[in-house]
Amino acid sequence: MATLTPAQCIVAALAVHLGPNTAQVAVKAFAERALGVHAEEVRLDQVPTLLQALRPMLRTLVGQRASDETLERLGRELR
Amino acid sequence: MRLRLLAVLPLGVATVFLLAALAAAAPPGASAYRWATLTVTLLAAAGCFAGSRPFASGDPLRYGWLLQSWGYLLLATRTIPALRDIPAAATLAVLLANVFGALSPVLMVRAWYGTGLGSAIPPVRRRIAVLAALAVALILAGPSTSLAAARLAGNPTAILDLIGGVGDIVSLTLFAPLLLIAVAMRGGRLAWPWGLLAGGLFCWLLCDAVAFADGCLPPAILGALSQSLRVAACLFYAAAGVAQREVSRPRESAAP
Repeated sequence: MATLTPAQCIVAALAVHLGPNTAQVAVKAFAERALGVHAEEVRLDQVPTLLQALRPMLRTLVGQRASDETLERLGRELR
Repeated sequence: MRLRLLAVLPLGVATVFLLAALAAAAPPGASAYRWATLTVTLLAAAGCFAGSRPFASGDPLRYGWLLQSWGYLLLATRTIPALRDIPAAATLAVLLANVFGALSPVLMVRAWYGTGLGSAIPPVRRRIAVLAALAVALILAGPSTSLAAARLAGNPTAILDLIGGVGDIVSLTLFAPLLLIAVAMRGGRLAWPWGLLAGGLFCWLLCDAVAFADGCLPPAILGALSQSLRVAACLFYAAAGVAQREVSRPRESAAP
């Protein structure tokens, strides 16, 4: 079975809320904005920075509790 | 909670209401209509209030949902007999409800684009959809708005009609961006509250469109159609708020 990249894991988790299309757009946009790299090039050590960058967007759309829960779970899974 | 059920409920209830109203041949303004209007308007206010609860002070969607809730509460006051008999109070309530109803989707759409997800919707598609919705809104609400503008001189209440008409045009135009946002998030849980909001606006749009059939259909049928669409619109808003609350519930504590 092919291993998922960190970006693919984040897209999969965000897709629950945003849908697959917008989740992909989000990870691509925020990886470029916060890390200056393409989504596929995000390394595990860059994940916390990327999740931090995604936090305000997710908080705006689902509120703080759901946003924190989603990102913290992702952070644990990708540690 | 099954989000799909929230989409089916407003249509189901509105259909049953339409069939019952047609069978009873109730005249427009019948007390049954007033009670139905009061009930669904209060449900919409409660649903939108529930939608605001997951958000903290300062979150733009909190104000979007709250404005919608206050707007429906104001509309509900129109059915209170003591207030209904005071024309100025009733007019002011409708005016404020229109302003809140127009401001709310503006805030929500701005909040969505403010998150940085705007590139999920191609700009060309966005412009075409907004222009098409604006054209429909102008066709539906434009004539009454321009009449109100023409009556401005010497008629103090015309300004209220004018603001109400402009509010209608703004909120009907925002149907397009709401729908595009819902479509962009298809497959995700957030598509439900946004899609249901778009559904509510679409029903209000149809409600305005029914007025064009005045004279072509018997008043009882026209009243039943208009009331059923009002029921559907209010219930779509109620469902949208409940869906937002459900979506915003942390998944670990969410009901399976």
